[in-house]
Amino acid sequence: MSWRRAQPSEARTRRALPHVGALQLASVAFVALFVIWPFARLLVDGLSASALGDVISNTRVRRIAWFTVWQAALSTATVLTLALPLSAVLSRSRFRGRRAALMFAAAPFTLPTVVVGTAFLATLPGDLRQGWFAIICAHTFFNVGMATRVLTTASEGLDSSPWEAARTLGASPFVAWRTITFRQLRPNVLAVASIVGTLTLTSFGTVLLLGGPSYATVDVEIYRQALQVLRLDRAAALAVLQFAVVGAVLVWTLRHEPPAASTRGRGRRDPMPLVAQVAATGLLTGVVLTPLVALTRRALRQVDGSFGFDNFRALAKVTRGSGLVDTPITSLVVSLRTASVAAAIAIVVGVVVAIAATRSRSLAARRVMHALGTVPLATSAVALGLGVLLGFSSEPFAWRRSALLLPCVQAIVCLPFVVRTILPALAEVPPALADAAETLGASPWRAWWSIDFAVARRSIGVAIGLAFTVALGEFGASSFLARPQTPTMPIAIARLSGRPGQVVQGQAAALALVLGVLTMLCVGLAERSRRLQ
Amino acid sequence: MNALSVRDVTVRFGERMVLDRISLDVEQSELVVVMGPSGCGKSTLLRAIAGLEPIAGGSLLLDGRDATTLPPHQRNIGFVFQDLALFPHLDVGENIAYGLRRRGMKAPERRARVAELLDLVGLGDSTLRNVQTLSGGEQQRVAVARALAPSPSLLLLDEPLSALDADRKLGIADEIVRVIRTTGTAALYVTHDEDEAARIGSRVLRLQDGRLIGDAAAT
Repeated sequence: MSWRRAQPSEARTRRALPHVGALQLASVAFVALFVIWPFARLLVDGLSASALGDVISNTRVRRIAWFTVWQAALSTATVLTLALPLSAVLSRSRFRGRRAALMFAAAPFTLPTVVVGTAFLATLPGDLRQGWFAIICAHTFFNVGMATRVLTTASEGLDSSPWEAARTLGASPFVAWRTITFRQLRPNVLAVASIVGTLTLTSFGTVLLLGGPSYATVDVEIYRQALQVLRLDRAAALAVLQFAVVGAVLVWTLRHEPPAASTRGRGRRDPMPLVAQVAATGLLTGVVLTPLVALTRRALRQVDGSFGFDNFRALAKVTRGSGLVDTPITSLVVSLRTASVAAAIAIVVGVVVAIAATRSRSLAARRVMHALGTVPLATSAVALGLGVLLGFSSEPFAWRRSALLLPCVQAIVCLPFVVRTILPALAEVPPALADAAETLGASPWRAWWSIDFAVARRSIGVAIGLAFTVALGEFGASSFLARPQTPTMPIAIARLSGRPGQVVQGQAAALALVLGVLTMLCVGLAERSRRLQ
Repeated sequence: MNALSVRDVTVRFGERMVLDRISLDVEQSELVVVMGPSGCGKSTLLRAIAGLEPIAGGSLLLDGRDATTLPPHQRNIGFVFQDLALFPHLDVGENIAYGLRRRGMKAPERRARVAELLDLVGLGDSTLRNVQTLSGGEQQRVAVARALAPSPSLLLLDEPLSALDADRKLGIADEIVRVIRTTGTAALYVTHDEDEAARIGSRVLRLQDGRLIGDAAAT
C-alpha cells in the first residue's frame, strides 16, 4: 500500500466540475459525523477536570504510558535493525523470485492484529508466551517485511555513483554504506520509523492478547476502563492524552515525508556474495514464516495431541465456556456481511472525496478535501470506537442499535487507504484527455465518467480489496460497537484466545487461521490487480 | 615502474564482450587520453581499472603492485565521475576530506590538505559551501579536488566535462590539465570529443568496439 501523500497537483490545469459543491458537502458531512462529532464528545468527556486529574495522577496509568512509549521505541528500533541490513543485501540481490519473497515477507503487515496475537500465543514457549518480549516479537513480525520491502525499493532507486565515488576514495563497503547510502536513505528510514512508531504506539489487538496481566498499552487500558471497569470518563481522558501524543507523531511524520522517488538508480551495482543473499532471504522468510507455521500447527493439533481437523469442525458447534453464545463460524458470516457493507460505503465516500479533491474550484478546497480523506489516519481505532459509543448513544444521534453504525465506522477506518489508492490514480490522468472529450461533445460529468474514471478504474478494484481487508480485520473500533451476541471474527478470536483451556485455544487458532488466509487472499487479489494496472 | 599496466583485460556483460584483451601502460606523471565513440567501452575500462566492474580475464598492476583482485577502496586511485557524484549531504570541505578521513588523517592535517587543494583548483574560501549551490564549473573543480586529495597513484577521469556548456569546456579542460600537471599525478582521461582530446595534448589511444586500435602521440 502506498504511504506517500498524493499532492493535490496540476492545480492550474484541471478544471472544476459543475455542482462539485454537493460532493464537498457530502464528504464534509460524513467525516464530520463519524470522526469530528465522536472526537468532540471524547474531548468534552475526557477534559472534564475530575477525569483528567484522575488519570494523570494515577501511577498505574503512568506505568502504562511509560510502557506504551518504550515498547514502541524498542519495536521500531528492532524492526530497523533487521530491515536495514536485509534491504542492503536484498537491493543488491539478483536471484529469481526475489520480488515474490519480498511480497510474501510484507504479507504479515496486512494481517489483523488479533491473528498476529493468536499466532504468537502458539509460537513462543512457556514463560515467554505473554509479556513484553512476546509483544516486541509480534510487532517485529508484523512490520519487518513491510520495512524491508520499502527500504529495498528505495535502495534500488538510489543513484549508485556517490557510493562508487566513496569506494574509490578508500571507503570499505560497510563504511561507504554508513557514510553515503544510509544518508541517502534517511528520509525513507524516517518514514518507515514513523509508520512503525505510530502503529506500535497505538497497538491494541496484539497487546490485548500478548500483554498478559502485567503489560498494557494506553489503547488496551482505554478498552479495559470503558468496557470492563465501566469508567467511560477515565477512558475518554486517556483517549484525549493519547490523541495528543499520536497527533504530534503524525504531524512530525507528514513534515518528514520522503521526497518522491528520485531518478531511477543509474549504474549496476555488483551483486552481494551469494552466501549473503541466501542468509538474508533465509532470515527474512524465517522470521515471517515461523509464527505462521506455529499458528497452523496449533490449529491442526487436537486435544489428544494428534493432528487433524477437530478444531475446525468445532467451529460449527457451540462450546460451553468459550465466551461465545453462538458457534464461532457465525462470526465469519457477521464479518463478511459487515465488511462488505463497510467497503461499499468506504468506496462511495472515497470516490466522492477523491473527485472533490481533484476537481474542486479552488486549490484550498482541494487541499481541504484531501486532508479530509486522510484525517482518520490520525485517530486510534480504539479512541474512535469509544467516541462513537459516547456520541451515538443519545439524541440527537441515538443510533447505537442501527445495524449500519458499525459498517459506517469501519468505513471511516478504511477511508484513508481508499483515498490514498484512488486519488493518485485520478490525479495522474492527463487533464487534456477530458478536455478532448469535452471538445468532442461530452458534458463535463460524462467526460469524467468516460475518461478519468475509466482510466483510473483499476485503482477502484485495488481500493475495494484494501477496504474489505481492513474492515474484515478491524478490531479496535469494532470491539466497542459490535453486539455482544453477534461478534465479528476478530472479536470472536480475541474472546476465544482470552479463555483458558486446550479446546478453546485450538478453536481460536483455527478461527485465526481462517481469517488470516482470507485476508491474504484479498490482499493477493488487490496486489494482482495493482500490478495489472 | 609504470603507474598503471593493463594486460589483456577482458570484461563481459553476459554474452557481450565489452572489453576485449585490452593492454595499455601509463607512466608516472603521464596524462593519457582514451578516445572513442559512445558505447565503445571507455567508461567500462575506467570502472574495471577502479575495481567497480569485475573483469573476466587479464591483470592489472598499479605502481607495480598486482591490483587485479583488490577491492576499489584498497587501490589508491582517484576517480572523477561523469556525473561528478558529489555527496549532496556533505559541504565542499567535507567532500574533499572524505578520502582523507578514510585514510585516517587527523583533523588539523585534513583541514590543511583541503585548503591546499581548494587553492589549487581556485576555490579558496568555499570550504563550507553546499555542493548543490555551486555552478557546474565549480562542482567540476570540487570533484577533481576530491579525487586528488588523498594523493592517488592514478587519476581516472570519465568524460568529466560532459555536464558543461560547450563554450566553457575547453577552458576547464586546460584548468584540469594544469591541476593534474601541478600535482604530478598519472592520469587516464576518457572522452568522446576530438577537440577536448586534442586540447589535452598528450598520448591519445583510440578504443572501438572494445579493442584498442591506435596509439598515437597527439601534437
